[in-house]
Amino acid sequence: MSAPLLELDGLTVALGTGGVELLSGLSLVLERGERLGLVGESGSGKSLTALAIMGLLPEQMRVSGGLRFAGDDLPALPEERMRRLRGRRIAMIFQEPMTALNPVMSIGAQIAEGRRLHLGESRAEAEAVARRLLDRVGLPGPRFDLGLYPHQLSGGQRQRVMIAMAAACGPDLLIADEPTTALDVTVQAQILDLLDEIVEETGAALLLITHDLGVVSETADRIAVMYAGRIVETGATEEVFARMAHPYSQGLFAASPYGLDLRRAPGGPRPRLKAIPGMVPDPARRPAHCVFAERCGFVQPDCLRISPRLAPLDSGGARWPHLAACLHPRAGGLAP
Amino acid sequence: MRTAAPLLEVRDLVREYPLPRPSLFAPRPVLRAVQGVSLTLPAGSSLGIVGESGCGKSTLARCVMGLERPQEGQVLIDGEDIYALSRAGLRRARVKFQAVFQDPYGSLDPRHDVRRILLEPLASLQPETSRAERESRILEALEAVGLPSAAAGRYPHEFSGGQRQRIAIARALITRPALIVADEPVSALDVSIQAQALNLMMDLQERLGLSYLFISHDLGVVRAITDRVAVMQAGKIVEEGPTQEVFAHPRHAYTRRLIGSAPKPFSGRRRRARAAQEAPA
Amino acid sequence: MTLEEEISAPQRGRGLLRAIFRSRNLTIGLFVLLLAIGMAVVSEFWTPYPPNALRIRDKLQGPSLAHWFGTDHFGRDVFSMIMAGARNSLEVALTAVAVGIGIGVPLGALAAARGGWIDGFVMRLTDLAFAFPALLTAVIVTAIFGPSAVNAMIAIGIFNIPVFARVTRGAAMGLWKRDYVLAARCAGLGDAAITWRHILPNVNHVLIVQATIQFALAVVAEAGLSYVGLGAQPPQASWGKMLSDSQTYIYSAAHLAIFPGLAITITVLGLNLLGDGLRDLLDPRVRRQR
Ligand SMILES: Nc1ncnc2c1ncn2[C@@H]1O[C@H](COP(=O)(O)OP(=O)(O)OP(=O)(O)O)[C@@H](O)[C@H]1O
Ligand SMILES: Nc1ncnc2c1ncn2[C@@H]1O[C@H](COP(=O)(O)OP(=O)(O)O)[C@@H](O)[C@H]1O
Ligand code: SF4
Ligand SMILES: [Mg+2]
Ligand SMILES: [Mg+2]
Repeated sequence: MSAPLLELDGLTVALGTGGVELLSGLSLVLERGERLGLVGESGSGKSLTALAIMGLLPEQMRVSGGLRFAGDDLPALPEERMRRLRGRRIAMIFQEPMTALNPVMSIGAQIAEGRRLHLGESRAEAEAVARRLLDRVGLPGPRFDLGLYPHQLSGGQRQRVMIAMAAACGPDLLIADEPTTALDVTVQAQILDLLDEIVEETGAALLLITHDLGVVSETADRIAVMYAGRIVETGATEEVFARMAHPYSQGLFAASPYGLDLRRAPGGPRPRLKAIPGMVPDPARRPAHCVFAERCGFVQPDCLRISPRLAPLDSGGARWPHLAACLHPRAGGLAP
Repeated sequence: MRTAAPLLEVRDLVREYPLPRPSLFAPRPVLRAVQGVSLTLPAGSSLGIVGESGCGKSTLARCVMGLERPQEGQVLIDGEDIYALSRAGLRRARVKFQAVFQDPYGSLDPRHDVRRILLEPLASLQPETSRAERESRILEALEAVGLPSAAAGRYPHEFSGGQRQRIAIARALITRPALIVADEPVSALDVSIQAQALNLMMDLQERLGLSYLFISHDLGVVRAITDRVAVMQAGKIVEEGPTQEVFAHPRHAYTRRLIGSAPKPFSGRRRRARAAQEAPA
Repeated sequence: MTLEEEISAPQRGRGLLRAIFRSRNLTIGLFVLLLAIGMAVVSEFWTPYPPNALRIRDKLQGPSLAHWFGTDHFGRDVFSMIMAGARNSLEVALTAVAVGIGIGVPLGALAAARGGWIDGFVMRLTDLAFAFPALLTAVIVTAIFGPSAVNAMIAIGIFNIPVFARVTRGAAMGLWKRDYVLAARCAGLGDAAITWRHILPNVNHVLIVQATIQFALAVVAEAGLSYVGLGAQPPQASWGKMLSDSQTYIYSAAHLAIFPGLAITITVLGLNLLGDGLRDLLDPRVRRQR
């Protein structure tokens, strides 16, 4: 069996050697054609995970544990080879299409750039591909000329350009960090559809980062819920949503308006959202026991002694085992 | 039978922005950001405005707040047209309506500590208040939003996004207004912080009898906090009604599209099923 | 500590003096500025030698115990001249910066606050001022009012007005779009109050940096004006004039260039540090971090 496309095996990212851990022991495997959703509140480490894979972590951060792409140990790769991977085999789509595009370069040139750089194509060849890509992402010519500049496009159109750029070299892995957070619902739906289709057509793997449970549920086959720099629950999307074994997953859902039961007695008070008490702990102040214990409604004495590991729940045998890092996983039944 | 005037009434509001001339002698085109909007908000209730970005929600909010004079129409607060008032009259009227903005990072002056931030509306709109009165109002406002009194001496950068939004709400409350215009007040917050902020707004509404004009592009949030909702498209209100009813039985095609586009958990296969349907065609 | 506790925790000292001395930049910067001012003041009463006394016999001596910084081509004591020149150089540069700030900042703030034709008008005005080279402005001013140190200040100051106007306008424009300005409007504040309370305090960091740059430029510009005979008139000493006079002897008597050069460099560096320190002192985000 060949090496998986992307494999994190206890990936840990710390500020300096032995310093504060920002990511602690992430493990996951992603194959071509799979869509994995990474969810969690801000500060949980989603973007850092993406940057670690891209080899774009800030200077002072140290990576330990396994991080392999198609069998290559990424942290050990010389920068030269990493650069060839980036854009060519791993591509990224950012949240802010406004700032992620170069304002003084035409969109055609920006899409063609990757192919000229990585595949050594001539300008004419690369621009012909850029034209096809723009057509593909729903920006047909002549209305959307290659010579347009980012400021001449709306937010949703810019995000389409970003997707065309990311897809330009036919990457094996597409990382999308909150690709629709800056957009509104109707445009969001279109962009998610487009991402879905691109993955379908090219067979690339998709790592979709979002804080919106609705977005992952509709787009990802599999999800990983992150909290305080670790994965606290992962499994097939349907299974995770059906059970929500980790109290944090439940809390995240219950706090979102999706979880609100609007029924109210006539004249009675408006139903409240179920906010998770407290806040995400600062990385320097994460406890040695269960990181969620201080905010967990189901905390038991042993939770304050042991740091639970990601362990399989009963439903074995599935393609993606359902795992949770909780000593007292919930039996489930959240689905309406 | 109508008794008192509603707290807020917007009548046929039009707000246009001139655009640059396409050529030297061409007439100046105008962008009609708000095109004849009428709304009514009875005291003690909350009205949501939903719609896509660019549909005119914030422009409407700025007009209601007396920040931008509309070309046509009226904004009546307690039956008083705020654009017909004198400067001094508008200043007196402002005590009754305050605003909360979207970006908790941009809405607080980084150079001012929380006391000064909270004091500003009070000192400007109710200069007759005594020193002691002001201090007690600051404490009251901080307490209302669940911040300790020591927060008064701190600067905005020392707070998290959720706490900053509480400060912004405290600033809006300090003149004891009847109406709060909230433009995307929780859009920049994380779900659990967002839930705390929304719950706080609901608590304050029940305790203080506030009214909200609540603007958001997030349908879930609007569903959670409003009694009625108005759906806005390209500067016009296309549908208005009790929130539950509009969400359960949307009548206008745009409302249906908006609700249909909103992502829903537990509908996992929807998108893929649709892709499969379309594939053979 | 939870945030709740953190917020309630007693605040650290906010004493101004303590804050100043906690910042190394501020301490060094203040020290250098005070040194320069001190030199200028002392030189009014005392200098090792009369700065204008010509002693041709002692000309072009290198640094020695008798003449710490050596002597120039007329045998004048360079150290005494530097002390005496401090006054002229500081006066010219500080006044020039003050003129620039005093007129440029309000103009820029007005343009940003009002926009529209007022903005256009102010900007065209600054374009016009920019179109005139500083030297030409100086020549015109001195042609009208006659050459003197005071007129040099005015000439250089005029050149600073558009610089500060543009910097202020640029920084202020962005701030007017912030939501806290909208919030201030909801509190009933007018343009002037908003400018005073919310805009200027948030542009001061840019202004401070610009002011140190303009100060350095003004010292150098004063030298240039003095060199062509439009600035300080003999027998008035000035660092700039000393520097330009030294050109002829740059190979034979390098100390003539080195000491005034050092005086300018150290003063400018000191002001730079002072500026950095002030900027941090005025910024609650930096001040409270330590
Ligand atoms: N000062 C202005 N000059 C010109 N056009 C403007 C101005 N302000 C707003 N507009 C335009 O008016 C329309 C409505 O803008 P508005 O800011 O109210 O949208 P919105 O619904 O709040 O969108 P978002 O969700 O992105 O904030 C948009 O097309 C916008 O580009
Ligand atoms: N440059 C940095 N220096 C120090 N800590 C950082 C840095 N970048 C991120 N962090 C910390 O790492 C954690 C994860 O951040 P991030 O991956 O950006 O979260 P998310 O994408 O989920 O919002 C946070 O606690 C954040 O404060
Ligand atoms: S281990 Fe205990 S504290 Fe942690 S999430 Fe599970 S039940 Fe809660
Ligand atoms: Mg992020
Ligand atoms: Mg808006």
